[in-house]
Amino acid sequence: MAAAVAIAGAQAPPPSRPAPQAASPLVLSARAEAELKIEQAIGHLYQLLLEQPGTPQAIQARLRLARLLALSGSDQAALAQCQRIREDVPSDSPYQTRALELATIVSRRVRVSSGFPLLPVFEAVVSRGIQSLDNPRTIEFESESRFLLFDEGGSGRLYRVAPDATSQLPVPRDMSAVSLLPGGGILMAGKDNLVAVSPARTFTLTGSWGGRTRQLKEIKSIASTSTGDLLVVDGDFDGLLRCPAGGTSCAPWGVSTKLREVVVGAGDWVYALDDKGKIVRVFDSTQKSLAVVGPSVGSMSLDKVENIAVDQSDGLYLLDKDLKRLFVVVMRADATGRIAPTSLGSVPLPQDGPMAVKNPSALGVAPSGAVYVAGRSSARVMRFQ
Amino acid sequence: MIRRMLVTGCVLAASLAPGWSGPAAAQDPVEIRAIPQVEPFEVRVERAAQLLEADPQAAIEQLDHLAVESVELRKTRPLEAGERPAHRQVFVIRARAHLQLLNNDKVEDSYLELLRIDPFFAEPLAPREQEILDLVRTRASGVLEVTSPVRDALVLLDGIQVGTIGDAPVRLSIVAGLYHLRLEKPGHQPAAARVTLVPGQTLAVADLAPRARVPPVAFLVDRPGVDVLVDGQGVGQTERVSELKRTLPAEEAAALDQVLTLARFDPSVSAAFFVRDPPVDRTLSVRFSGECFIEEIRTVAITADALARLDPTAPLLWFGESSAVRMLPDVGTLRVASVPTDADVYLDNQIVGRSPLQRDVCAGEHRVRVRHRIGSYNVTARIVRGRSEVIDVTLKPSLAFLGAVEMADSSVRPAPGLASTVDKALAAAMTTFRLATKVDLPPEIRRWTEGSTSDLVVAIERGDEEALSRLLKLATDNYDAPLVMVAVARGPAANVSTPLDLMLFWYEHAGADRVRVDRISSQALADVFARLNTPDDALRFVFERGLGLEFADTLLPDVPVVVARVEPGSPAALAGLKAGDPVTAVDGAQVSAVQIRHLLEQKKPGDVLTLRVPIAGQPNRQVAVPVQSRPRRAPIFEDRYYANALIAQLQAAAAVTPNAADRDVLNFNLALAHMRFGEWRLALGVFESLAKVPTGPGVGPGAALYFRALCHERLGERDRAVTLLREAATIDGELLMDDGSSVGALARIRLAWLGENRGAGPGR
Repeated sequence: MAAAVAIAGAQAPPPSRPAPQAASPLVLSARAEAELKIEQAIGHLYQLLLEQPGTPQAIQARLRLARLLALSGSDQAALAQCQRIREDVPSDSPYQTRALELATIVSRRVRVSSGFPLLPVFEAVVSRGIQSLDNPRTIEFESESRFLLFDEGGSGRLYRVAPDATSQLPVPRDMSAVSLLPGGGILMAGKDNLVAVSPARTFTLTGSWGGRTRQLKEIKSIASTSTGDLLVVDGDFDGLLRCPAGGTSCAPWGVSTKLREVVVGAGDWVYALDDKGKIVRVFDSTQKSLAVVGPSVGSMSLDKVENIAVDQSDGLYLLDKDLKRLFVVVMRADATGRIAPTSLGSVPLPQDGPMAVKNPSALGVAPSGAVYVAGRSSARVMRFQ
Repeated sequence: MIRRMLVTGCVLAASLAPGWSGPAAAQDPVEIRAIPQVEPFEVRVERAAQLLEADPQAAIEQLDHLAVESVELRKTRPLEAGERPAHRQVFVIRARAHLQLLNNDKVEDSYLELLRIDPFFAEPLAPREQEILDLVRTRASGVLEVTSPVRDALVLLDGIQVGTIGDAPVRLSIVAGLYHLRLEKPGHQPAAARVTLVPGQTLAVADLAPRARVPPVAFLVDRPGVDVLVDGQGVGQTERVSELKRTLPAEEAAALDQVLTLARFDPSVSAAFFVRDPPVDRTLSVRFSGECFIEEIRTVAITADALARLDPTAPLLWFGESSAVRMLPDVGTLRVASVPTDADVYLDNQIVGRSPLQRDVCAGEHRVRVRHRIGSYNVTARIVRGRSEVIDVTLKPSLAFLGAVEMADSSVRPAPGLASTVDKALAAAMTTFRLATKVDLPPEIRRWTEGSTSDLVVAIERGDEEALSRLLKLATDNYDAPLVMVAVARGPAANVSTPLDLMLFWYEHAGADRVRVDRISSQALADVFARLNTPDDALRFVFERGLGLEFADTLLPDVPVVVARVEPGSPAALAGLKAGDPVTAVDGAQVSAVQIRHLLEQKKPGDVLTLRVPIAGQPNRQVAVPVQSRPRRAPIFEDRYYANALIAQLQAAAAVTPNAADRDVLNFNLALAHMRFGEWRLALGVFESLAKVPTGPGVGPGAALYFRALCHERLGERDRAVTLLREAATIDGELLMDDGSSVGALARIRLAWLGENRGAGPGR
């Protein structure tokens, strides 16, 4: 007999299900992942799925498990987990979309492993309302079909591109960078200040290094972690600055070399592109260096990486403007916690014809892993998938 | 049914015994005894005699009372020999006392009574007393003259032998009065009469004749315990011969042995019954009856003529075969078969065996109950002699609705109206379970009442596991259902907006499914009860249709569905499919991966699904993949199922399926359902009972090992868990998860988590 009256059912999960532990498998898994004990993190999630399938936590666990399985190189298992989520949750659940997007990313990798070409389909994205792009810098996705396109040309322009319409958003003076915030807000960096939209907020950031504190006025790139921390590349500082969530004071973090771009990926891993466009350094949330990508990827040497982007499954995309080529690198973790960047391949950017992207400068990755590229002196945004 | 055998003639078995002397069972009139006095009569006579010296008057009064008492007593019966002296003394002393007082009337009256007590009184008296006695004797005497056709019969007057019947009449001169006259002769039934003698007259009695005694009529019956009725009156039961003989005179016992041999009855099992002092010249009806036997009737007629020809020494009357009673069973055959087999079969509340069962049963109506742990079946069977009644039943899992209560103001009250509503909704909705009703119970088992339902709900609310366990047992005893349900209104049950909790229990554990119904309405209840009907096929529930392929939906252009994984060695793998292949159509239609799974569930094993899997140069490449049925770990934990209902269904299906492999798959999932309730021991028991589980996604011998380890771990038996996990860690060819993770891989991870095999990689 159970020790107490056990109640099961939709309204009240049974207390006599496996006794509550000090921390749930989800928490334990997150802890293990933070410590780069990926197999252990996966083990906790399997434990939850075996012992408490059908609970709401099990769906979360499957999604996390799919990502970790992909990180550990088990793409087929990851794909199966994504599909199981789609079968287990109602069609209107947000998990449906997230599972489908992750499945698409992983499917692409599985197909490449089976000999199918990487990103074989490319096409121009309909972007009515954009006359021309002077210096497109950033593409940030709000959803699979809607993205922000930042053109640094002139005083800076920020477009919101959707299938049915393109709108231009108000921006701060001399806008230099943009990032999406957790929860859907937009953060724009200008010459004088930073402007956050939704919730609206205007503020300045200060950085402390070399015994001085100064206002950050040359922000070249900015990115946000899932907890709201900001990572900033500033032209006045040779390195990366991190600003805690809600605060305005930033401090050197992770790397002290001149940088060009910073992005934050799954697990709040930080990807920092050096100013020469040759190396991307990968850090975990504790500043631990996980991996270095470049100066060569696969059999090719990087020439001048103009921009980088990440997908939700630890895929890193590098846009080499001189090679006119798009590289895809996937982070893989082995049983010891070592992260090994693995080249998935590269695709050349078309240089002739109506689809040509001659001066690629902006790169973005949709939630499903579709890659968007925009170049200077063109109004065209190309999608590779 | 009555079997009659009329014996019209009297067949005497005089030759059976060399001599007989049956006990003289007298047919005396019914004795009416006086209510016992505080002191015996003779004591009081003695006291009166002693008082005569000291207080004559008082003594005389006492003697007068004693005299009246004596007269009244003798009107009812003759005096016993032992009583006679005291009665004689009363009248001798009384006469003497009254003589002193010159009360001549009372003196004469006393002597008259004295002579009535002892007509031949001759004890010495005083001369005056003797003179008066003689006078009374002369004046009050009459003559009794007794003759009889039965020579040598003894003549007894008021119990005193006064003569023997011979050629001449027995002639007695005695004082007038009422006398008990009796004629006795050995081997005869005494003849008796009351006679009143008048002074001076002669009373001739000639019609008294003791009749020759009739030996007992013996019946041999082939079994003891048979009821015997003589002329409609129950007179006893047949008694085993060996026991009866101990109570019989030697001659009767010997004669009984002879008739046993003659009738070829087995003395070790046979019984007998003696009808003693049977009437002569009148038919005697003797009936033999017993439960489950056809009644036998013997009509016996003993005529005087026949009796006269009887050897007077014969100890028994034996009518040959007519005295031999062989009881014929009044039975039909009851055959009970059930699916599942091994169900307990009760006949009229008595367990008689397990199905399949065949046995002879008394003709008539009987309550038959086929009881299995998955449910029961009750029926009234009409058994006809010589015919077979067949009960062949497929038992469905049973659900009993115990009743409803309302909880308001901290009290629990029966809610019969709500119970009726729930009952009707259940009856309308239920297809998977048989709705159980109360069964016939032996009186010693307590009945389930409305109060019991309230007690159950209180036990649930208080977490009183002991009470809950006891009440669940009572409920299943009353209903023969492994599933029981109660309804609890969380407020006044009359108010339709009161929320309702439905609680479903399985009899072997305290875990309950609890489902909240927002309002008390038939529709809301029907919606909830519809869930109880799923799955409608437990066996199908634990098997899935598959192709040896996993599919995944994608957003890739022109690749709506991708092959996620191909099971090595499967038909799909042999057909050349590989992970990453695009699937653009199934059976000619563009479908999603989710739809493919639904499509598969409609297929039968052996059906073929045609996939369009384009490759370079072959945009319309078609691959035909056969559909397989394979075991699966069913979605036991999903809240859309009532876990206890699943347990009942899985257990029922496992009990009925003839296929051992199917049974193992059902039981594998049953164990998982126990795990849902944290019933680790129950789950372990089921896992350990598995013979050889066929392998499917998440199901198989390795998976069973893994889950056994998990149960041991939960029970704090870490060493056992580690041992099992180590064994499981070597099994890499069996999947534990449907994503391709093997038992070995996950066991190694688990071992690492437990601090064992540190550093062991999963090796997926």
